[in-house]
Amino acid sequence: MSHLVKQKVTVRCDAHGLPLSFRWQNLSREIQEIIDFWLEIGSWWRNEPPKAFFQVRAALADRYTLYRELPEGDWYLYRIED
Amino acid sequence: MSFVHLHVHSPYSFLSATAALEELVAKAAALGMPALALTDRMNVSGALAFHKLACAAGLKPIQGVELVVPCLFPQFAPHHCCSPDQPQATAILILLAQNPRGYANICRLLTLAYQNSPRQNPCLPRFALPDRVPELWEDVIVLSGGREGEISRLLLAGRREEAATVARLFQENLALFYLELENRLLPRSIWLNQALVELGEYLHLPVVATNPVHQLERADFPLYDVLTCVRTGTTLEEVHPARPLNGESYFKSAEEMAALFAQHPRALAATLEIAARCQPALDLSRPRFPSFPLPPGEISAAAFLRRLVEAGARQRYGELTPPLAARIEHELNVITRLGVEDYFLVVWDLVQFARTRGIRLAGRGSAADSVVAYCLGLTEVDAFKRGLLFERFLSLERAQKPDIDIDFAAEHRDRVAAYVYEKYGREHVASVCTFSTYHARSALREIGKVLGFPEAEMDRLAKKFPHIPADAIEKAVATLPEIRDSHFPLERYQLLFRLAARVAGFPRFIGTHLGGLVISRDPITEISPLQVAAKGVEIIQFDKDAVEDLGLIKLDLLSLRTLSALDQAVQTVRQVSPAFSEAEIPDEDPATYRRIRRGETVGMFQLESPAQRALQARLGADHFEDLVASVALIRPGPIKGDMVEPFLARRHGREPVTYLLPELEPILAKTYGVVLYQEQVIAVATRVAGFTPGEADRLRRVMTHYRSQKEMDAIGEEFIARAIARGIDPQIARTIFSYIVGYAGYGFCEAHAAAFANTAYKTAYLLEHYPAAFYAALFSCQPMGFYPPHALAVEAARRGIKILNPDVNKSDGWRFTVEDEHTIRPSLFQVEGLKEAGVRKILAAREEGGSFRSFTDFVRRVDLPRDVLANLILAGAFDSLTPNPHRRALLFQLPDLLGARPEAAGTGQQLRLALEMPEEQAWPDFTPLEKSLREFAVLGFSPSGHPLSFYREQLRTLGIVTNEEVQARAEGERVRVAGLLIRPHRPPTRSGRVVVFFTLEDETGLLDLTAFAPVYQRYGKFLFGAPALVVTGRVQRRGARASVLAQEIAPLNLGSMPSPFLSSLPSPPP
Repeated sequence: MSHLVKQKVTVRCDAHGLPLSFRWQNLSREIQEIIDFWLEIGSWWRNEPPKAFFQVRAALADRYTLYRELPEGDWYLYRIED
Repeated sequence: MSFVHLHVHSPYSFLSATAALEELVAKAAALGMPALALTDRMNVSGALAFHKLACAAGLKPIQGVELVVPCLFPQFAPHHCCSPDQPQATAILILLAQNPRGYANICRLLTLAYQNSPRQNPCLPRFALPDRVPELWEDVIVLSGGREGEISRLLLAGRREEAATVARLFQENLALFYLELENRLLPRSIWLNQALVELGEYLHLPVVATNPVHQLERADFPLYDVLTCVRTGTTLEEVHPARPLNGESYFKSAEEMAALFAQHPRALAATLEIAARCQPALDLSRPRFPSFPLPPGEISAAAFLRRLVEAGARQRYGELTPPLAARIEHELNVITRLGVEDYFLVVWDLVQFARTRGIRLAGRGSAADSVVAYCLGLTEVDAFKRGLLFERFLSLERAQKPDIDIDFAAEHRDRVAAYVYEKYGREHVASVCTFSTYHARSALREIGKVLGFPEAEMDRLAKKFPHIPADAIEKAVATLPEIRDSHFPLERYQLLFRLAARVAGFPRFIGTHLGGLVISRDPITEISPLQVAAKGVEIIQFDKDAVEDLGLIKLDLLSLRTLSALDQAVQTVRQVSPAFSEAEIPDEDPATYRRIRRGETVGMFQLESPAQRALQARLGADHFEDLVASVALIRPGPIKGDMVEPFLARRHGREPVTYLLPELEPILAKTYGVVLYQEQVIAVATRVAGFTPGEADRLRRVMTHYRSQKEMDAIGEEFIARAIARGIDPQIARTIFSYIVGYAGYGFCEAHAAAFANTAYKTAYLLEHYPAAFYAALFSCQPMGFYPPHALAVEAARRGIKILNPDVNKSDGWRFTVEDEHTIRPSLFQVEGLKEAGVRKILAAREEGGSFRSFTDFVRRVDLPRDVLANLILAGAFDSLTPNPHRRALLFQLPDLLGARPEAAGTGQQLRLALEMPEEQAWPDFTPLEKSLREFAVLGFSPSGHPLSFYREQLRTLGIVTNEEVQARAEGERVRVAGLLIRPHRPPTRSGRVVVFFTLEDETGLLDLTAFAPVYQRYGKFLFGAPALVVTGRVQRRGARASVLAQEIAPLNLGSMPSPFLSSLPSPPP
């Protein structure tokens, strides 16, 4: 099952900006593995910022997709796959 | 760390890339890469330019292509890999040529793709894959195509076995096949690359890293996205699988690639291995022009050519004087030493073909500098008599291939081309292509649509712009009043203007060159793929500028409607005067020159533009040399070079004709001491500085195209030193050099001018002595020339010629006919909407059942759409069928009659066929003005009278005089005129200031007007926006004609006048 979430989350990163853990619904989830990473420009003509997507494995679900608005913007939990 | 990009797109991938070849090569060189590949999608059009640029930059060019191939497992292909035109699922491969043989194979494969697919969606046929024809894949390195390749797609779809099957097919049949890894930071890229590596290990296949390049920099992404939208017909707000997700398709450095492929170092190293295996694949040293098939008994092309030239010379000149014989010998020597005898024979042969079939032709261009060409009948300009320099055409020093341009009567040009195909074989002949590139209008329309602006709004906006490059849009917005003062919300278009500027010059479509054919000794597919253009002819993927470097020679077989008009006019004259012979047209007919001197040249080839008419009214032409000079003078170069005024002043003795040296007199006497022709520059350099003619022509070319003052100074030093060595005073040598520098860039080819002047004189003679026949021919051959049909109709009326309405019984299908020397009948084809098939139906019905007896009879016998029948009614084509023609009544009858056609049997309406039109109608017919306007809309002119004539009395109350009356007004007198606006244009001027020339047409004739910059800035929106104008200004009298210097301009707004005059002009009324 896949759930679209699109909610702002707090993410702890390493020195390279890679996510180590994130907090959502008052629970902190340690990231066990970054499975995939990609970039999306989005609606550039509306001055939307580009986004860096991370598909990660963490506790309580099979996969989470997080994204960060670039260059140093907010983090969002985009999708959960059980 | 080193890396070579092997998957690179240039703008020749058509809407798939944003970086010019120059930028790609410069970037590769700047990044220290040893080589670079070019792999445009389904074409090699950039190959030659890429080869030259890369070699100049010290890079090894690797020629390749992105080839579209059929999927072997289409059932697993993503949906977007199919299209309505190409239901077969497709994928891509990257092909890289190892050498010329590999390049030729790529060309053959592309040709097979184009020959076996829908034109817009070429795809290699299954039978051309390497398991079927491995020989076509020899010396070609193949990459699996990255994410768009079938192997990657199958892996992404979870079909590992099928992916392995595809990989094995290529592995088993290709010498070098690589699995292509790419990482453009797309979803699952990391996973996919690992899967490809594992597949490679499993099958023992090598992997190679690429980063498919569609942009130069990451920041170029918006443009790439927009071009993709143009390609896919979507707007920015629409989702399409072909749209890029991010801007990672840019030209990455070796370091960036190393970081991306840190886990796969072998894939990086493979790029260098592949580059080492590839050699420059374009063989530019090989001449490819075919040998002319000699008749039996002829031992060589050179000997045969000599024999033909000698025979032609005897026919042209009778006796060969020693100077003439020496000239011919010299030309033959150059031709033979350059090895281009076969080219002359090929052209001679096709000219023979045309002449023996009565196809009118005329050689043009610098070939008319050749006595050999004249003797062979390729041109009608006697280069010997005129003293023209052969070296302007061909020289040992320049060693360029000859370029002989021949005009043929337009309707027969394709017959001549067909003969060339038949003679040399379809594998050896093809048309040269052209690339339509983005200009302001096309860029605004297409990018505007992508940005979501309504199409109609973009169309109106685009039409406001002149034909300028797309990167000149912002300047035009700032400077052109018709745009600046328009009601468009220009501030909303800022993004549009910026994006449009970026695509300036990008190729948009590939098409067919109007006349250029290439013939190749070897099959053409060895040097270029062949594809079918929209016109249906096979074209190579290179344009005219590339063919010579590829070892090919272009034949320019052009179609010229003027020659068709001449043909038709002569035929018409002969019907009345069978003794008329074109050959007996006198050389210097006084009446013809009198008309030219009056500036009454509308319809004359090359002499009819407003600038030409103004020139003729001042020049006082009285012999052929004046016509040659006229053709040369009214060109952008001579006008910008300010040659016209000195020429006229000397022609009329207002300035003395002087020469710096006596030996310049024979060279410059025919142009009164002014350097007008390019041939004169060559002759001056030869005579003064002792240059050989070939050296002198090289000097002329450097002067014309010079790019630096340093280069020009070096040439000047050489010229002056050599002149001094020949005893010329140093100061005079310097002055002469500065003189020719000032003119060299502006001069015009005399041979070309003389060739055109020949045709111009014939048209002038016919216009003077057989106006009805000539105007009829001009109408029949439209579109041609400078003026629309309504302007020709006004001019014809001034000559006392009445243009009748078309007539379904009397009109010819295709040609305007002369009923008597004062009357012309339009063709049926002239009626708006009546296409070829419709005309044929009318002619067939007339042939079968005789003349139409009534409108009902016509409707019953000829099946035409309702709109076309209505247009025939409005054109007056049925007027002769009843004693009291009533066009409005016929329009009202039309629906009922159409319902009663035989094919409507069963409706019960066929009984109405028996009903003829009632004689008396209750409703009134159109007024004369209404008739005129409707005729104008469906014919392009008004046999019932010029629309303005119906307003004349009201115009007079506004103080508006006729164009004819202006001719009697004095210099400086203030007048107000009105008329239909014809072709406002802004030719280049030496000062760079804008001057607008335009013409107004009323029922009495044409009037030329000029608007200088301040007037243009104030009234530009009317000059380039209104169909008809009222202009107030001052009369100018220069020579025989009066013109008007505009001061105030307004749209012709007839206000209270009872007519929709202006709004009715562009479209037919119901």
